[in-house]
Amino acid sequence: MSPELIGLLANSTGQTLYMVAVSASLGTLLGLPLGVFLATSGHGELFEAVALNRVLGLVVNATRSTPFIILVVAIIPFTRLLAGTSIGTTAAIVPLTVAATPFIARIIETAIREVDAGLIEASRAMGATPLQIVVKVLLPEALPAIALGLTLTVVSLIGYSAMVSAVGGGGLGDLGIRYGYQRFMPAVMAAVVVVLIVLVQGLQSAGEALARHVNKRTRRT
Amino acid sequence: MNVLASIEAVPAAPAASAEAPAIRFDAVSKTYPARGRDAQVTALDRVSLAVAPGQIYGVIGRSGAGKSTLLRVINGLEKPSAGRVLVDGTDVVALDGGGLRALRRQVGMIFQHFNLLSSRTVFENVAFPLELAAAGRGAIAARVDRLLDLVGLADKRGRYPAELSGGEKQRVGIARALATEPKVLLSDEATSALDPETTRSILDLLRRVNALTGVTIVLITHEMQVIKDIADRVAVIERGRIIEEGPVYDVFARPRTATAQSFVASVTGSAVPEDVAEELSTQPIAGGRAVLRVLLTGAHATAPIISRLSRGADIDVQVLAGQVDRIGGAPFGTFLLAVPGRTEVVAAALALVRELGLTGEVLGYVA
Repeated sequence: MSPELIGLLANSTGQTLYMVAVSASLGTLLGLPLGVFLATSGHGELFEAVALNRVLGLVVNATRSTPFIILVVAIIPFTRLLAGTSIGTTAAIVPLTVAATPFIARIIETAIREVDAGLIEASRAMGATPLQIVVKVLLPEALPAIALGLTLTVVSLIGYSAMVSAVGGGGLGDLGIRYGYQRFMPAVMAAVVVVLIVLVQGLQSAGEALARHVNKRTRRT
Repeated sequence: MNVLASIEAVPAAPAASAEAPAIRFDAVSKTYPARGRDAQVTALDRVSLAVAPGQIYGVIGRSGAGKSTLLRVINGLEKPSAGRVLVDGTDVVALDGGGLRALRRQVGMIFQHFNLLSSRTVFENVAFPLELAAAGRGAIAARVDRLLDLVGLADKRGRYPAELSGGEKQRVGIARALATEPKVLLSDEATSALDPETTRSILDLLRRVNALTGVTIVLITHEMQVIKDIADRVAVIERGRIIEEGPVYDVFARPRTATAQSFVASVTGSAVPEDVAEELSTQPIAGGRAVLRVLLTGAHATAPIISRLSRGADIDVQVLAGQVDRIGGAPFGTFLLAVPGRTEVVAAALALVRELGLTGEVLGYVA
């Protein structure tokens, strides 16, 4: 492979990491409170708001059921509003974030719902406020599941990021399509695939190690 | 060395004193809206009771009897549908938000499944209620260390709950419940998930805590053994109603309702062994034996009943079942005896039992 191609590969890897890192961070920032709310606003729960819970649940489901490639083009006006343009790597962060947020929200919601209801009761019995219960009980207890869920999200985002080549988003997927496929350069295609495998494998291992580290539920000797 | 300097602040109050009750229920009812077409569910039905400061008050009932609801209206985890619940003179039902949270810091609670935070160490778990109350770091550390000494877990302070045995987890639960120096401790089947030996050690600890700090304890259980071991007073609850209530010894000695009788029988050996129960007939059997139940209670509990029957009255006595133990320090026992079934022998035996100041009854006859 020529030095130029290696340069392209490095550049594309950088673009992919940039898109995934920023959209995962923004998605977590937005998805965390949304997930906490979804998990605690049902009937008889800490922040009971059944109607709002239903509406948000519907919005989350609608976003999650839209195929990503359609979401990318459907929200082009919104992307242009936020990023000033609808093409390029930075612009691609908008649809990635829009897709990541409900995904992360559901992951957080599920992780929190797995926390033993007895802990909520015990905390209430000790005089905890609802906010204290979320911050000091639910999130720390759900942390191992949240860490694994976020790993899953990041891996999915790497896959999604390959599709934003449709709006000139760049990244590894774009490189693979334009050079590997359209210009028929199998070596580039292979290189793209290898880099993606290494990336996903590394992130998965790191995520699992983190989850193990924060999980105090299993007996260690 | 005084490891309890601060939790001894509350003086030990004599049980069943004349002062204002620590907890009072005035006709407390709790109904749940029913799902489906059933009528609504009544968990508590006009329950009235009073718990004296420093008392250990036991509530016993089968599952679904309402004891769990009874416990949870004390710290406002559940709101009664009607009636008043007074804790230290404050009407819990009228409290909301901040008032309720302040009350809950005065009322500790321990649970059957411990409910410890798995992501926190033993130390951090005990510190948790103090953190919630925004106590300072120094004060928290000093208090938690004292409590861990009290419950005998000083060497486990850095461990996580997953690394502890059930008994150790409950000790952490007790230390955590005492962290805010509460006036009342609620125990929700605290020993039901533990083996008998661990149960005894946890009950010993609760009794010690009660004696040291004067904390009023309300415990719910389905095990009469627990009531016998530590309670001063007991209420028997069935279908949301208190069907029997009084000092533990009295309820053991004279259980009036069938439910109370079966609870008492479960620990005093007054239950008729199954093989005997199967053969038991209401009519005398020629050449057979009569089965008597003799209760040893009160001042006459130590009367020499067997020797008086056999040596004094020349009646052959067979012990079918029996047990003598102590309830609140006073002897209490039950014997199931078989004597020759002839009418005059049975009458003589019963007369002798009465003469010794004991109670006896004929349960039936066997071959």
